[in-house]
Amino acid sequence: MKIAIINQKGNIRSIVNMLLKCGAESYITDNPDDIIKVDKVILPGVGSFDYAMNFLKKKKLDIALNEFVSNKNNILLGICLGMQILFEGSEEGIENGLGLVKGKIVKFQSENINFKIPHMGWNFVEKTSSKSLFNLKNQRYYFAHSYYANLDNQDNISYQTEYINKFPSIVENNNIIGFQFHPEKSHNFGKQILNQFVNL
Amino acid sequence: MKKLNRLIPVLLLKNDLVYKTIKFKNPKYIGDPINTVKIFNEKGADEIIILDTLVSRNKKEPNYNLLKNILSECFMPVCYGGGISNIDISKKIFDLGVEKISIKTALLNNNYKNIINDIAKIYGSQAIVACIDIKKNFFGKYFIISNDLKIKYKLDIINFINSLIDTGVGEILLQFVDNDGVMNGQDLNFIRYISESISVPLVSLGGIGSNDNIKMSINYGADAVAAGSFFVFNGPHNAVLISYKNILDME
Repeated sequence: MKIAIINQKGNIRSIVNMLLKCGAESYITDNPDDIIKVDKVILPGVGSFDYAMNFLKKKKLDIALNEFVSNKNNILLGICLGMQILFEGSEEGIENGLGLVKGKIVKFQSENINFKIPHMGWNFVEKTSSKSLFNLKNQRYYFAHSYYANLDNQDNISYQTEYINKFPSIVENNNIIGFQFHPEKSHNFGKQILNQFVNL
Repeated sequence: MKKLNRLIPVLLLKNDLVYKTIKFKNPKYIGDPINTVKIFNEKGADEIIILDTLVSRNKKEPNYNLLKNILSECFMPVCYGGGISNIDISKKIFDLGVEKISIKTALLNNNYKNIINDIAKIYGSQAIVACIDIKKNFFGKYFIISNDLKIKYKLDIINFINSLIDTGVGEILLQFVDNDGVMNGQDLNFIRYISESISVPLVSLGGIGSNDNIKMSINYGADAVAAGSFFVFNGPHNAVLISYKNILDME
């Protein structure tokens, strides 16, 4: 089965290459009709919240993704900004998010000169939910973000990371998954987690 | 809270090949960029910075095809700089799979705020690095200098950097031109001075020659340390040998 990657701005090419290393074929699309044909969709993204949401709306991908996840056998994975737009809204913009996970994206507030914003670089993840689909031990990933998710339901946080404060690095709401970090840029650690995703 | 500080190899491209300079002069040939990046990827480098040193000077566009080939086997974050003078060029670079672009020459034009705004709006601040080359004058005071070392800018460094950050820059790559290739450490007090004055991560470049140099720069407030010679030369005669080990992770 192929994986569809939504043609958002960002490291799409790296995701395709990393998936190939995991033995999975994928294709890049911004056509809502293509999403129906697969059972896994990756929503990547770097950039600003409003720009990403406006793009999805213009292409009618917001509707398509809602339909896609209504089939519980399908899995949607948002990466970085792609994870943030799974939520209801963000302090970064005025647009509504997809609203697939309850909560809002908020900005880091640093009072310590040693902790700069954006959070840029490698960091560890710590498991917070035994129900997680992922099994990760001593793994670290590459982060590059100024905003993080503030969830209504803490049960949807499966892994957390500490930078300034603790924030969710992996969220899971049934068949909807979000990674705040970039697995496609996290060497073997990234390959391992994408491998687990491919085999879900 | 433990913070993992990044250690970043920097590759200087000149006519599509990797070179290493001393104080921005005397370029020494290192190797082919595709192969060099592949080695850093295999060694698990935290990130890599690729700077094409001639593109802006020759008013050309980046070599997209070369970058595409470099990136195809690259599973670490990549920052590219060189010839990024407008949003269209930036788009082409990001589409290749680059996380961050480094801007230098375009920052020293009057309309520098436009390009930062344009990129930040689409790609976000975390994707824009401002590269600031600084050199000491006869009296030991730092000033910002152009790529070809010909133009000295009369700018207050802190004010200028903070105006870039206010406009949307997400990281500062501070390069000590006098220390380039000298491998004798960085100006620690100046790192502290800059780091304490800015809200975004500071990457210090120029002068790294040992693990102690790296640790000291981090201790003085660099968020990440970047280096060229340290990763490509080996032994007393500076034989070319690519190596990489992040000693900061092991403590």
